[in-house]
Amino acid sequence: MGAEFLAMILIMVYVGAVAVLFLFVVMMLDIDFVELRQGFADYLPLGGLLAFILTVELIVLGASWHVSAKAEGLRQAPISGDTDNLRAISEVLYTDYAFFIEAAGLVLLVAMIGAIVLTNFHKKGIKRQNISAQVARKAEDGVELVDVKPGQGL
Amino acid sequence: MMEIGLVHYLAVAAIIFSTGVFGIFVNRKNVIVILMSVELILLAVNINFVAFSTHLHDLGGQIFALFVLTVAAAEAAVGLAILVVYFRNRGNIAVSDINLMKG
Repeated sequence: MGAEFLAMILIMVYVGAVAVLFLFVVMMLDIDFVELRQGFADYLPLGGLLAFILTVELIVLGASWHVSAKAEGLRQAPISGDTDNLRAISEVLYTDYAFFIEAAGLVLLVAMIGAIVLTNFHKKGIKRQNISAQVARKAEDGVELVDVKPGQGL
Repeated sequence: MMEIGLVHYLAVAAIIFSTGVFGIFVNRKNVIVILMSVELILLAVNINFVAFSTHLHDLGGQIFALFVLTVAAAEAAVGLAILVVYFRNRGNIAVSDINLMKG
């Protein structure tokens, strides 16, 4: 097909990130999946019928597809053919679509911050390191010189 | 040897899309499976984008597939984070129990 970059990225993101994320959550949440699977048989015939109809419809739609004669002139970023896929993508991605890739980065940043803020919670009764208190500590606060008289304790 | 063309890619995407829709239809209780089904639907859309992109010799489809992928990954992360918080509050993730808007 000549879309090696997308193929690689899709596999890496779905196997490396999404699948592992789902695995972690399934592992973390202690859920009885047998209980959640009840009612599966009730919806199976209707769901299967609808899915089958949808598949057939979409395949018929795809098979009857033909490209309009005007499609040639409507191309946004034509593939020249002599450059490889990665170079061709990068040449338009960082020039014509620079704003969009910035926006995509922002979406990922917001998603990351959102996920961290949502799942982060402070448990009561855990001793935490107070870095500013440690840094602000002076020798005078920590060491006390006492003039002990001979023969007497403190 | 049969040559693999646009129709075959569209058929694969159609099957994956229908699998996603089927997953949402059949599974009325488990939120995790519904999230996975949404991911499948987005993957089917991505396959369509890439197939048309190479068929029409236009890179725009591949670029857009990249952005769809970004949004899908972000959606999975935030959805699962919400799910974890919900589980922590309620102790289960059955869809039928999600009926109040207060945490």
